[in-house]
Amino acid sequence: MNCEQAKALLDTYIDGELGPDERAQLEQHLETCAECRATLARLRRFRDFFIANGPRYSPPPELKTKVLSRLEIAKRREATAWLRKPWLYAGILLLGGLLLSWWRISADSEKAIAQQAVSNFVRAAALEHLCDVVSPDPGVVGSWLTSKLDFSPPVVLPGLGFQMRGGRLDVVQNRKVAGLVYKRNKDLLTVFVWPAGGQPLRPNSRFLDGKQVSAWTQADLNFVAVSNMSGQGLDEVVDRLKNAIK
Amino acid sequence: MGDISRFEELFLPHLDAAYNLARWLGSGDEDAQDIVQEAYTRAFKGFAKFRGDNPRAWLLTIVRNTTYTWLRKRASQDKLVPFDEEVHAMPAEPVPSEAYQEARRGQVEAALSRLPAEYREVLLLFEFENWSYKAIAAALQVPIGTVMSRLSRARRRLQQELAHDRPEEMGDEL
Ligand SMILES: [Zn+2]
Repeated sequence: MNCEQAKALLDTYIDGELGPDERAQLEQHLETCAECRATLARLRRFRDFFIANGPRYSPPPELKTKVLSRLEIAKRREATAWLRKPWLYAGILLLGGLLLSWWRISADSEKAIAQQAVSNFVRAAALEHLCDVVSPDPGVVGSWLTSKLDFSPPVVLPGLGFQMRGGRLDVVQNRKVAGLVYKRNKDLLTVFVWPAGGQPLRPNSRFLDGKQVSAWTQADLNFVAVSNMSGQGLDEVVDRLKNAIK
Repeated sequence: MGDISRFEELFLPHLDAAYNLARWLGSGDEDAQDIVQEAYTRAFKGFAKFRGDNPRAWLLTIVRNTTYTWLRKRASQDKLVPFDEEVHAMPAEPVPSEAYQEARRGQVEAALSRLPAEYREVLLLFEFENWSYKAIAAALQVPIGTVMSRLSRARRRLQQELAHDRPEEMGDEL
């Protein structure tokens, strides 16, 4: 090792970061070279001087308080971070809008459906054409309707004195539906049935044009019952039908 | 979500070191205080990612990065002398220390302030924070050889700056 090589390593040597081989070689050179030893001594003195006189900056005491309050803020922000996501608000608004429009559409269409069912009921009675197939047997009525439709309407008896009169094809919301016709003395009951197809009916009852109307969805089928009976009797009939369909 | 009391326990003891580093890297007292607050906030946000066993080194690395970002943002670019290993490399001839034995801290500070921040930071981290070359290389994301040469050049440059300050005290050896 010559002096040039040695001097290049002196800093690292002082720093204690020299590998064992280079260190041994350098120490060997230092033993024989007074000039490098002198340089090494100067470097050490300078280093000691620098460490003794290098600045040490101390923060003002209030910095700790400032940091702590910043951390408090950061902590609080972290706890409520999810509230500050813009997509969250966009999502809530969008969902709210969808719910509102869905509610409006369904409220509108519920009423429209009830209206159509009542019109069908009144027209059939006025035309005195209640049934396309006349039978007191639910099985016969069911088979006939199934053969004319793309689904099988469940044909059941509600009891409470109602007799099966038959069935007919009708139209609700532009689609072919099954109409099940029951009678109890002067009380006429017609139940319209069609596949819900992703548009189920919220259970709802109302009076329209002097008729009682009750709608529901069950087993992926929409049901709308219409009757001219007086009083609140339709709800009980609907309960019986629901139980029988299960 | 970080545990704030655990965070404070680990990192508040290094507040002085954090402030000191920000000052060393060229910020004044006010900036250094802001930098330290910013760095602690950043550290807290990243606390979940802290896996190491050396919170002081982790914090100081954040302080360092925050300081550079801060100084750049504040357009205090004049304090950050554009850095070039070769340009800033000075003749390796050491200056005798005898000439400076009387030097005051103020003179060292003034001399340091004329060094590029890259030199000041290796000096601080090695001489005062006692980091190894390896730790400095990792924090600065440079090869160990660069740390080694930068440290040597920083010392030469500092010696020169001090000599420049007090030419009347230069020894015969110069
Ligand atoms: Zn030599």
